[in-house]
This record gives sequence, structure tokens and C-alpha cells, in this order.
Amino acid sequence: MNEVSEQQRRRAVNQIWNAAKDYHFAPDFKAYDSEGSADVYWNSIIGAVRRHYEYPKLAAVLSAFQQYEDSDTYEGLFWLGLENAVYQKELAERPVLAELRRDYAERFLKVYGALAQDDYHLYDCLACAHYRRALGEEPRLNRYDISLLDELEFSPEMDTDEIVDRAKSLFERWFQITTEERRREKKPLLLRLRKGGKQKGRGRYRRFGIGIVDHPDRIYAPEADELREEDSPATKLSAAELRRFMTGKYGEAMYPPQQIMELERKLCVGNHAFCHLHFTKGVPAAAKIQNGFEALKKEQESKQIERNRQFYRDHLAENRTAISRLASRIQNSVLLYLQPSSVRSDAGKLDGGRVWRAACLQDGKVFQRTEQGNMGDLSVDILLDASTSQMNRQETVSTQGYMIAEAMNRCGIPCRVMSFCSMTGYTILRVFRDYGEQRENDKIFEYVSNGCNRDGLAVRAAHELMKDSPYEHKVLILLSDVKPHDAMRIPTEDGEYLAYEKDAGVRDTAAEVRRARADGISVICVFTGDEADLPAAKLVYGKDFAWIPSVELLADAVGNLLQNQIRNL
Amino acid sequence: MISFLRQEGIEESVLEQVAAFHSRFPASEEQAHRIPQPKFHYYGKEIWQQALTALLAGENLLLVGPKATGKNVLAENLAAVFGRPEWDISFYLNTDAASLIGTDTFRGGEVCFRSGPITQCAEQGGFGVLDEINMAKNESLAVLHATLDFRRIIDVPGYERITLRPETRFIATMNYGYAGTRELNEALASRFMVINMPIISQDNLQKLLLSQFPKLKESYAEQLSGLFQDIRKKCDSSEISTKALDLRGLLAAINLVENGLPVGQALEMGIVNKSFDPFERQLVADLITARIRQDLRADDLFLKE
Repeated sequence: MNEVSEQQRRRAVNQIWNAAKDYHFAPDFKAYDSEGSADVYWNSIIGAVRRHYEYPKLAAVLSAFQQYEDSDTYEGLFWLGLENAVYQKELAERPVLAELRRDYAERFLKVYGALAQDDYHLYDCLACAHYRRALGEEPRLNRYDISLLDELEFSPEMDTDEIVDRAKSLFERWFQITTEERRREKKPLLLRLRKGGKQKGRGRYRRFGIGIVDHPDRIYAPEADELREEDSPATKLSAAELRRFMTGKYGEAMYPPQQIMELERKLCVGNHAFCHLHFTKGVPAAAKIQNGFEALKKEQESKQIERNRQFYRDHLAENRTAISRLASRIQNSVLLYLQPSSVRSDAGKLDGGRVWRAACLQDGKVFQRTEQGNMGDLSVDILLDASTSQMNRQETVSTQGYMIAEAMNRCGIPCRVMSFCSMTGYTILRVFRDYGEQRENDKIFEYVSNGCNRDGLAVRAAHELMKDSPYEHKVLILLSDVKPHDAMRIPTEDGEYLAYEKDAGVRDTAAEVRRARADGISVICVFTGDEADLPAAKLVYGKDFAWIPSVELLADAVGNLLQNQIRNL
Repeated sequence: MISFLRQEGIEESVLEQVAAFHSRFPASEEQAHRIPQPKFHYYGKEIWQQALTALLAGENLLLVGPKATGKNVLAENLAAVFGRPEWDISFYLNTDAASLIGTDTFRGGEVCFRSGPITQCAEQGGFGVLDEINMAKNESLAVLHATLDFRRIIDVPGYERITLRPETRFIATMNYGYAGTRELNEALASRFMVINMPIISQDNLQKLLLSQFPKLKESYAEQLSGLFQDIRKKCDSSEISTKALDLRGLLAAINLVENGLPVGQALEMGIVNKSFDPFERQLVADLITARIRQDLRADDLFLKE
């Protein structure tokens, strides 16, 4: 099967959102043609299903199929039934669907309609008949199968519950399977293993109609709790030991203890009460690493650092092109919008030294006009999310950070690069390079992810650091997957505690971002996460974020964002 | 215009006052070419009522709203209703006092004052449309403070002090929160009555399409206005930029269809290609595919004679 490019994936998602008239969910099931291009017709149907029915109930049925060997057949048939209903529901609003459906049916029959009777798979057989009907032709099926098709083609009058009931009885009678999930309570582990083994063989992209569908492992699952690594062997340590542990693990603190205390008193309040901060430049601590576990971790980290560098080197040519593209875009907008200049003109402020030209040479251009616009200094801070959720993206994130910092260097814009993660109540801000340290970009590859991420506190701390920056205009770029999650909970007013994750975490981050903005800092986000978290990113950053599924798109997306910010200075 | 307003259901008493304004301040012949002849009408009774009342009472207006809400259409319509010459002044980043009020120039061997659009508008009692007022820097707009508030004067250093004619009005437009725009400062905002321009509803858009293209079939007017809402929705969720959210482009595209181009090509020129990012173009093209057949032509979209 063809791989589907990130662009087509995003295109499919957009088609679904459009038909659903709702942009606040992450579509799990997406359709492509056999070339891997997003399929407008089926994605419109998938979106419309979301609009007209209660999707979780349908997803439960689809999810139940996954426990059977022939799940693709059942799934395909169920979608066929849904298509029948939702097409008729949508037709009034989008008459063009008639055309798209006819076109799809014709293509389908061209591929599968001519197969010899024996080669038919049950799905093909029924689908051919279904699409023949759609074209107004005879379905060419035996009586037995016709009655199955009749039952399967759900009518547009049915509501979600009726469809689920119909599906239940239909699949029970015709296929002897149940559409109710029962794997959870019974032998969950065994089934999971069985399922995992099977799905690996079938791959992520499976046949669907004439094309393929994106079939990730967690498809149809209700939003499940993400499993996160909480590698915190240090939970039982005392406060002083804990700080020593942080120093050992992340490096010497940048500030003297007194200053850290003051910072904590100022920042670790409200939602972040009882939290601690550790600012470091990664200078190895004098104290030696104590146990084997820590030594192992260190070794893993140094391997990761090497992988980061290698990743950048492997794509050296593309990366350098991207850097110079980004640099020239930024330079361009800086030049275009902010260069003050004085021009000769025939109107404006009289230039005494040139008046003679008017009298003697009839040259009217004896005036000076100043084009406005001195932007003052601009500084850029880059904050990399270094939590475990970025584990599979460490190479990409460090490369992206490096590329932005390199582009800033070329434009002569002072830049500071930091990463953040949280562990046992500590939020660690690691500074890779500071404003003046143009030659230290290589340190960005020391980015290694571990622990949780308390985005709100990290933004708050970065905001605080930026207050001291000597530059007039400040931009903060976050490279984040907008998945705040930390073990330290949020104390509420009525004495309860709220977990720092999902909604609460996102809301807290959004509030911190707004606070920074209110202080005149432009905050923009380069979204590195999964599309499931896009709605959260939109909530936190509004329009000022870019979703960059692959490194190639970095230059354009970040260039755009920065251009907008520079224009606003 | 007046009959259109009557159709829209504007109160008679307001219309009477507009008529009185006309007779009190008739436009001279030299000014006639500056009085706009609107090609489009603004739909929305409430907004009309607010705008007319404010202008009659001598206030200046600030129209705030996102792209394609008809800010400029309304501004032009207002100048036409009041029958006053209109000055269009586009603001940009480097707009400064000189470009608004005027500046020294050299004519016939001596330095003299060359008046800018604001000054001309004030001297002739026109309607000044300050387009995208928040594109300019707040500091350079400070010269307008005395012009826009109760003082109604323009004080040019070294020259006469100019008093605004009583029929002079200023209508500013701004697009909030888009690239290149900035926060308007309070001192300036307080000199305007502010109207928040609503996003054109699908019904009103349909009405607009049908009034521009009387022969357009209603079912297609519905699909095209639906398409426009789809695009807006995509912009709102910041999947695409607002480049493709182009009402002028949509109208022009329908015009091209009427003149013989297939729908697909016309919409490509009018809407899809407004974006220069290939992926974004693809997303917009998908929206069109999910709305209307690309190969339709004038015969399909428009009623026969």
C-alpha cells in the first residue's frame, strides 16, 4: 500500500472538518484514493456522519469489529450503510454530492465490477451492488444477498440509536458476531496481544473502497489516557536532596540559591503553588552521579544527543537551504517594514543645502522626507518542550530549534534557546544558548526529552526571564505539542486538587500565554504534536501557531509567523 | 439610494433628516465627480440605522470587522446617501502627518503648502474614508485628534488654522487582529462612534448575489454563499489564511461565469489563486469540489432570457 504524505493527511482532515462543520475534533478514520490522495467524496461522507449522528456510539460499533479477523469487511460494510443514509441527508444541502457519488461509483465499478463472480470478496460483491444501485442500475445480486444489502443500507430517517440497533441485529444474524465491545473486562491482555500481532501484519493503511484508509492502532478509541513515563526515582528524597538530584541530572543552577528562592516565591504561586524551578545552563555538577540507574540514563542521553546531531547532518543540504530561506524571509520583512530612510522628494522638509537647485536647475526635489520606522531591537526566545511526549521527535525538535536559532544568527537577531520539562514538582529550564552566544548553537543538540511538562509554569518562567532582556521587542517561540501534563496538581479555591493535564493544563497554559502577550511579548507556537491536539493548540495560541508536520515546511511556516509579528512591532 | 433604504426598512424620520441634510448642504458641480455611485448595496437594517443616525448627529464613525464584512461598501454607500464628495485615504505603516494634512512644496520659485487629502476633505465638506486606520502608527495619527473631536480644526504649523466645514464627516475602517494591524489607541478610538460590523449571513450574501446577478439561479446562489461560509469556517479555525476569503473575488468569478468561463476556472481565478501557498490552494479547491461542479457554465447557473 502506498504511504500517505503528511500533506494529504492534513487535506483529508480538512475535508472531514468542512463536511462536519466543526473543527474541534481529530478525525480518526480518513479516506484516500489508491494513490494516497485525500478522497473528497468519502471524507465528506465521514464528516457528515459526524455532523448528523452521535459519533461515539457509532465508533463503539466500529471498534467492536476490530476484535475479529474479518474486521475490514465488517467495517467496510458498516460504512457503506452509513454512506447510504448520510448521503441522502446531505444531498439537500450539497447537491454536488450526487455528482461526486456517481463519479465514485463509476470508478469503483470500473475496478471491481468486472471481476469474475468467484473472485468476489463479500464486501466487493455488496459494494458493487450498492454502487450499481447508486447509478440507478440493477444490483445483480442473488435474492439472499439482496436482502442483506437492503438491511445494510440504512435509511436517512434512522437516528443513531436505531442504526446501532440495526447493526447489532444485522451483524449478529448474518455474521454471528457481536457489535458490543466485551474485550475490556475479559482477558484484556490476551486480546490486546492478539490484536497487536494481527494489526502489525495488516499495516496502518488498509484497503477501503477503491482506495485506502488511515487505520492507526488506536482508531475508534474514545480519548484514552496517554500513558506517560514518570521516570522519577527521586520521589522519596528530601527537599535538599531533591535539589541536589536536579543539579546532578540537569546541571548546575544558573542563579544563586537566594535568587532562585525569590523567583520561586514570585512564580510558583496560584496554579503552580508548591512547584519548584531549576534554571540551568547544563554545566555538569561537581557531585558525581550516584547510582547505576542514573548512569544508564546519562548514557542514553548522550546517545540521543549524538542521534540529534546525526539527524541534522543527514539532511544537511535541505536544512541549510531551509535556514537560508528562513533567514532571507526574516531579513526581508525587517528591511521592508522597519528600515528608516531619508529620501529626496519634491515635498516635505526643506533641505537648505539644496535650495539652489530649484532656482538654478529647476529641480524641485529640494526636500527631505523621512520614511518612518525604527523598530528598536528585537530579540527572540525559543522554548523547546522537552517532555517525554516528544520522545519520538527529539531529533526533529532539536533540528527545528537549531535551524531557527541559526537563521536568527544570520539576521543578527539576538536569540536565546531553552528547553523545559518537569519532574517531581520541579520545572527545569535548560538554557542552551543566551542572546550573546552566537557560537553556541551546537549546544541545542543537547536537547533530550524526559519527564512531564508543565507548560504554564514554563511560559511563566520564560516570561520572567524575558522581562530582564535589554531588547525593546520580544518574541517567544514555543516548539510544543500542547499536551501539558504534570504530576503536581493544581490547588483550587475550594481546597480540591485538579490534575495538571488536558483541559485544566491547556487552560492554564492559555492564560499564561495571554499574560505574556499582555506584557508586550509576542508568543507564537510551532506545533510539533499530533493532530489530535490541534484544537488545544488553537485554544492556547489563537492564530499565532503553525502546524509543521515535517521539517521541510519549517522555514515557510515560521517565516510567515515571524513576518506577521515583525509587521506588528 | 433613498428608495433602497426605504426597502431595507429604515425609519422614515431618519430618511427625512437625510433629505434635510441634502437640501442644507447641496454638492457643487465641481464636487459631483467625487460623489460615489455605489455598485453594491450594503444589507443590514440595524447597521444602516446606527450609521445614519450617528452621522446626522455630527459624529465620526469607526467601522470594525474582519475581512469581507462590507466596511468599505458601507462607507461608500454612506457618502452616496448623503450626497457628499468622498476622499479615500488608505493608511499604511508609514502614513505620517505630511501625507494626511499636507506638506511644504516648492512651486513657482517659492515654498508653499500643498494640502493633503484630510485638509482638502475638510475644506470642501466631504466624507473622508480613513481606510485601515490601524495600519498606521498611533503616533502619526495624533495630528488627527483635533480634527476628529469637538474642535473640528486642522492646525498646520506655520500656516492658517483650517476649520472643518460643518458637513465634513470621517468614516474610518479597521480590520482587527489581522497581520499588519495594530491596536488603535484610546485617544483616537474615543473620537469615533464605533460600529462592529457583523459577518455577512448566508441569507444576506445570497440576497447580495441575487441582486448583483438577477439571473443567477437561486439554488446556485445558495451553494455559492454556502461555499463562502465554508471558507470562512476554515479561516476561523486558522487552517488557511484569509486570502481566499474574498467576496470581491467571488463576485468577480460569478461575473466571469456569466461571461462564458466554466465555474471551476472562474472560481480558481477569483478565489483559489488568491492564496499563493500550494497546499492552501488545495484545501480551498477541495471546498469548492465539495460544493459545486467544476464544469458548469453560464447555461447551468443562470436563467435563460
